[in-house]
Amino acid sequence: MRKIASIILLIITAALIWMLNTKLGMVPPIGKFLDPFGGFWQNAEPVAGFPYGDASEVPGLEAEVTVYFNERGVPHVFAENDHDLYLMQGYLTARDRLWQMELQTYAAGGRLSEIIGPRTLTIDRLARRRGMRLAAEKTVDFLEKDPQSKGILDAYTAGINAWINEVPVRKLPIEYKFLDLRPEQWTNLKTTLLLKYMANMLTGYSQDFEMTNSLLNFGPEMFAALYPDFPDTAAQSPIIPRSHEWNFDEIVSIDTPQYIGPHTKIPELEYPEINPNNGSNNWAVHGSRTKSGNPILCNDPHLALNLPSIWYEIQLSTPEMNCHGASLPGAPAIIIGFNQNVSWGVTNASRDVQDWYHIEFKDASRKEYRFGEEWLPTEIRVEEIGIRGSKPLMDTVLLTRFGPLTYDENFSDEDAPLNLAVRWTAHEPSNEMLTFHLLNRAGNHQDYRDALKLYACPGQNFIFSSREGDVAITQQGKFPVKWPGQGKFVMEGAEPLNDWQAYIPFDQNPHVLNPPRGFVSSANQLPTDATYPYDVSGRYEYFRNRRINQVLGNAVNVTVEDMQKLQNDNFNMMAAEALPTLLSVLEEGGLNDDQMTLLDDLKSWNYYNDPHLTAPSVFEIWSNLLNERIWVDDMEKDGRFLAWPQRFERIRLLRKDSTGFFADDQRTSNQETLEQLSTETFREAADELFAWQDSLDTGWTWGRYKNTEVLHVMRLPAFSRNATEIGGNYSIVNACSRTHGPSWRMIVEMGEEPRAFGNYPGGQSGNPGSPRYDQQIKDWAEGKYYELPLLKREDANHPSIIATEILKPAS
Amino acid sequence: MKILIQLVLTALLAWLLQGLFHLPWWSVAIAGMAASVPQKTTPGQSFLAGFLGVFILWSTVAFLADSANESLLSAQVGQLFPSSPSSFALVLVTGGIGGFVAGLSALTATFLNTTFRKPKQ
Repeated sequence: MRKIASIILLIITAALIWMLNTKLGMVPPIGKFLDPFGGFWQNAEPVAGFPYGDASEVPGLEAEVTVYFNERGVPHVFAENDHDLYLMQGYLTARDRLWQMELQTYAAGGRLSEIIGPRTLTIDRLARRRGMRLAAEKTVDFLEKDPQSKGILDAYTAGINAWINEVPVRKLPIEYKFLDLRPEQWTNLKTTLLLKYMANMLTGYSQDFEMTNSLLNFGPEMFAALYPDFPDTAAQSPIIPRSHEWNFDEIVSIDTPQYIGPHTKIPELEYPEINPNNGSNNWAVHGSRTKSGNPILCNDPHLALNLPSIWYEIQLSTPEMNCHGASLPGAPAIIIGFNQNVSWGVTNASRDVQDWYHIEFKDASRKEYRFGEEWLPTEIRVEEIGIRGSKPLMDTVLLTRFGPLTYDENFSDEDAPLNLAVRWTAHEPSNEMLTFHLLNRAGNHQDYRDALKLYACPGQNFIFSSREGDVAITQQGKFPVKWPGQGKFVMEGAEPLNDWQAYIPFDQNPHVLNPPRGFVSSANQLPTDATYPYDVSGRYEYFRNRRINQVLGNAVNVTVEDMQKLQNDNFNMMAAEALPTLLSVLEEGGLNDDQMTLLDDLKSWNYYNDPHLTAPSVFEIWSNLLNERIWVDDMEKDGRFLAWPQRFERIRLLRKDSTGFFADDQRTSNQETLEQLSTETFREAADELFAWQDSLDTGWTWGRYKNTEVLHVMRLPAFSRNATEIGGNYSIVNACSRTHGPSWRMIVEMGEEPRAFGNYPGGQSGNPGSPRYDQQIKDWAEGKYYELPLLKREDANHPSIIATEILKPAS
Repeated sequence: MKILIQLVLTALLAWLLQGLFHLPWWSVAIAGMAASVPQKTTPGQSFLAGFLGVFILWSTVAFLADSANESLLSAQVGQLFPSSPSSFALVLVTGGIGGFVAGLSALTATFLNTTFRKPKQ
């Protein structure tokens, strides 16, 4: 009897240990996770002091490297050569951000299921079927053929791996412990995957399917009216000022096919969530308009607000160069920054560089497809997708001359699935990495232009200023020459003239140097007006740029403080243009006293989305409800998925009083009017606001109502943060909406010594157990900046420096 | 007295295995078992000694880490758990889990020991 009891006890003990050592569903292995010697407690970093600062050895270094850290944990790296510089960048970034780096490359390469399980399989399949992995493979091959690029990639990879090999398991980021994972070795492919991750974030957005349905639904005339290429030209303020003359010797011309419309309606397809609000501002003011006489350059890229932040601040220095700015964890060099002689920044070009083709196969074997008079062979690529806890999935993807066949019988729930292939500039190998390497070392405008020549995707508006006093902007990327309308909707792959026929030459991309108006700027608006000899279709923003250009156009004696104010400007131009019309159609007789209070608030509003005001909340909720009521029945009826006209266009239609047609709810037999809809939705908006307030017992100030979230990359609420002190919204210069916003703010005044200021919503450390995880969020929300010094090696005693680390070659 | 000796031995062994040799967390089971062998404790006493030995060790190490960290991390990790335990509760839960595994192991070892070893006469 006792024997049996002993054995049972032994089994129970063993089973308990197994259970506490195993991840069950999304529950981490509890014993392992709580273990104070190896689990999460090891990530609880002492608040006092700084975790690094001793001397240590790093394998692969050729010479000694000195790193100074400031109180925010920003490393200032002093290396003897480029190899050691990039190795240290990899090493230091991995030490602070390893989990984020791995997660992003797993996502880009369609490998999330390997670490998460079957839940993410569709996301992975889509990534592979859109050619993300294929593109990264081609790019790494292309980069490694160039010895200089290979040297940079190898050094960066070696640095990351030096940290991965050094870090004890107990010191791994908490997310590894949560998911019960270990990091794998970094590779050059992972670096190119990260570059494709950015390309996808900024150019992977696609509206072609909805546009196809819109065109078939509305017909060409109404289509042109609802989705114009150059909406309300008189009001627009393109990146290249309208007075600019294009003096091109020869224009690349292409042939237009006979029939340009689409053939088939497109069902609702799985497509990754890519936020069209990914945008940015940048501008550079010429010395003729600044108080000091030196140019001032500003940049704030708007991306999803995440923790750890998408940016990692760093200073990189060798005897030949010295550069400070924001880098992307997973990619070498500084992406937005400045050195002694130049400063630069980027905004998204927003041009359409991803087009879809309907493929006609010869027979069910799908070995050949029609292209003009010919039948071309398909290629087969098998994607092996690992799945945690089960066998891998083999996904067969056919390749066409356009690109991978994303949608087909293997990836569809439809009875008669469409065969759709994608062509995308991100698929083509290019060397963006070297562009940034060269920009970090640029000395003047010519160096800047030379660096940009290599740059293809994602197309960006590169803003520039120099110590010599130049300000310039270039919209750079590899842009196909398109016939009017090409690629706005799904095209027939059988028509050869539907394929891309040529690219716009580098020196014909929009560029302007020292324009007469005394500043250059961009905010994802149209690059040019209609006089530019090429098609520039894309998805543009129509409000921020006009506000920026309005402020800068009136500005004289500009200072850094003025620029800080402009980056944090909360003027809501959209509201200023839409609200008077909305108020004029509202029937006040239908409102009760409480609702009238809200209306009075709106009427006295100054159109600023300041965090302490309440009117912006009323406007936001009301305009959204009304927007839905007017458009949803027209755009999403009977399983049709049409493209919503741009916000700017919707407001213009409203002001022109021509939404009468759209105001009528086509699902009802009654004839709805704008007056009726706006009054009804105003009452609904009031009810929603009152209910929201009652449930939270707080006032609906804009900051609280918007409740900006900086989400943890795995969306764990415990590791996410809220910022209620920040105003703004999408379409406002301070473009901070609920989950997107200025992910890095930088202002640089050139001069004998550059003076730079910056901040971002996060902190240098990716560890939620570090005070430097979210340290900068509050200051960022309040519009405060830190000085970004361009230190020199002899500045060891600079007041901002709190620790020095000496890293030596491994003996 | 027997309990106290076993308790101290368990804690010491566990600290050696985990803190010094960086063995995985379940080495507390080894510590719990090993410390119970030379003792002539009853099964109940053995469980208590194993439990308290690792409970004290784990809670102390967790508490020290938490204090230096000013509960920055434990406040967040607490939110990952169903009832959102406080930082101090999380310290106790940590000790409890480690302690329970060590206690159960000690109990098992004592049981096996008294059952299968021939009593010396």
